[in-house]
Amino acid sequence: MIHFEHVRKQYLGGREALKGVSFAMDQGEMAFLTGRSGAGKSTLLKLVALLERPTSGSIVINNINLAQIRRNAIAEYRRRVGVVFQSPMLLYDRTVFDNVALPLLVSGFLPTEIKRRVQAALDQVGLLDRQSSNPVSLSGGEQQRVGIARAVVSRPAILLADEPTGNLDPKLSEEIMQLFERFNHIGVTVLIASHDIELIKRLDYRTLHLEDGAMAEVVV
Amino acid sequence: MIGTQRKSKRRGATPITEQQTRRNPQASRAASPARSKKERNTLSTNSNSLNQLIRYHRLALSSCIKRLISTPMASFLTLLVLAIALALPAGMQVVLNNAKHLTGELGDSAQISLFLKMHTPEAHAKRVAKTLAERPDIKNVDYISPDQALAEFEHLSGIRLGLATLDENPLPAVLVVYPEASASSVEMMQALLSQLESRPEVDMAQLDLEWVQRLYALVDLAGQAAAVLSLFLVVAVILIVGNTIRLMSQNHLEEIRVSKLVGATDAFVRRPFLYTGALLGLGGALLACGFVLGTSLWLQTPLERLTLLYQSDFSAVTLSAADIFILCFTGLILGVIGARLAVGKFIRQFSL
Repeated sequence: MIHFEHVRKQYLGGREALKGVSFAMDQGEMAFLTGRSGAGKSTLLKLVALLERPTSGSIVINNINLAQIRRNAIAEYRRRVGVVFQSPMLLYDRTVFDNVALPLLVSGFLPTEIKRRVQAALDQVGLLDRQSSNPVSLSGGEQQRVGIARAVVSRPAILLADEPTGNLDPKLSEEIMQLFERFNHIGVTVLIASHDIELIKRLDYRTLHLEDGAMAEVVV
Repeated sequence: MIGTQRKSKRRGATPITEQQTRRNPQASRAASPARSKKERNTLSTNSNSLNQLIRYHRLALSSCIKRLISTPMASFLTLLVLAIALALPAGMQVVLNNAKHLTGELGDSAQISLFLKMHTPEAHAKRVAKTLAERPDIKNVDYISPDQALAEFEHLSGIRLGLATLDENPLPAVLVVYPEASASSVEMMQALLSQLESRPEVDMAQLDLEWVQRLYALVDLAGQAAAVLSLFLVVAVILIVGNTIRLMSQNHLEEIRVSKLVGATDAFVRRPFLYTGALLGLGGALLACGFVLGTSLWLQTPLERLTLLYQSDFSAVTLSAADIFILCFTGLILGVIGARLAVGKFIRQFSL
């Protein structure tokens, strides 16, 4: 599903975030991506979501070589990859429902279909009763759940999360992780960048460890 | 493939490949007929592409209106500035149209006055008038006797000379020659003038055309000045809309960023801004029409009074329906161009 081969990423200015990373994830797999801040976790996720292009090396996602996706096809590719960020990146000028509906609006879905899917997604994260609230009135954990609902509402095959529990207390983190597990159980490939070692240890999943831009797989 | 293997577990999850094939359903259907049913399902949820396009545009329009309403004062002021910028060239055009209309009327009424030698017998003068009137380039000839001329002079000037104060009427008989409209070009009039002047009984021929010529030249000059000024104002409109859109896009940075993250195309992000530009341009043009129509209505009465003094039945022209349409269309297009220029650079910074 996710296939990296000798992927290097050097940013403008010379900093080399990834130094020849190779790894593969099966379809339907769930894994953690660990490493210190600056080890290249976010860069790796950005490469999968096509928010960045690699300097060299090949990335194949779901049998598509990302190098072959041209600029004007990126938008369509992104609709198939759900991304959850550390800060939920919600829009505070609209309701929870409208926030979650954004990926579907962007894809041109019918309003009835949008309503159905958004409510289903909000139901899955347990926020259906808050659909007409403004995200400002929600707690941090709830906002993160809205972010997750938005990431899964277009039913992506891949779900990426960059420190999704970074701002949350252990109990809320646990809840968020359970959500990711639930999506994984219905076949979504999930890759979560996190440095919450305690949580990762308790959940028994494959762990990919990045150290200074290089990959070292760890079996916990 | 995830879509086929895990279908039972994961209802409706569409893998990336299917999304890609959707863009070219004909080709993929031919390649794998087994998939066509699933494709139809996908298509039916998303309806056909025309409906989808309409949906996109409706969404863009509503979001644009929301944005404009969210800052009512700024939107109104922009509209007002645009209206003034558009009303200036439109107003100048109306003035020019009127000037052309007026000079055209004056040009038609060009006439040649033939002052006959003193003591030309009336019968002879009338005979000359008759022969002249038969020429193909002359429409009509009026004979004004010295007595009539004196009476008209007294009437117009208000000075009562009376034959008593004068030994004899000092005014000569006059033949007023009206050329055919087809012969009213300046050169032909000049030729006619010299021919008439050479007649033995004519003392002096006078063509009242020079000032008409000057007026023509003046109107031409004004027209060119207006064209240059219009060009500047067109650029101004583009810049005003561009600047407004740029400021507006700064307020929607987060929205644009998140939209692009979840897969919005450049066109999707651009569309509301283009609609905003179009609406501002159109609104400005309509307001400008209002300004011009209002002003010309306001000026109509004094203008009519003025033209009456010149004994002209001139009636002022204002914006026609076609003019209004052209102005609105121009405003709309300029708005879109301004928005496109402003937002083009802006969107690129969010792209890969």
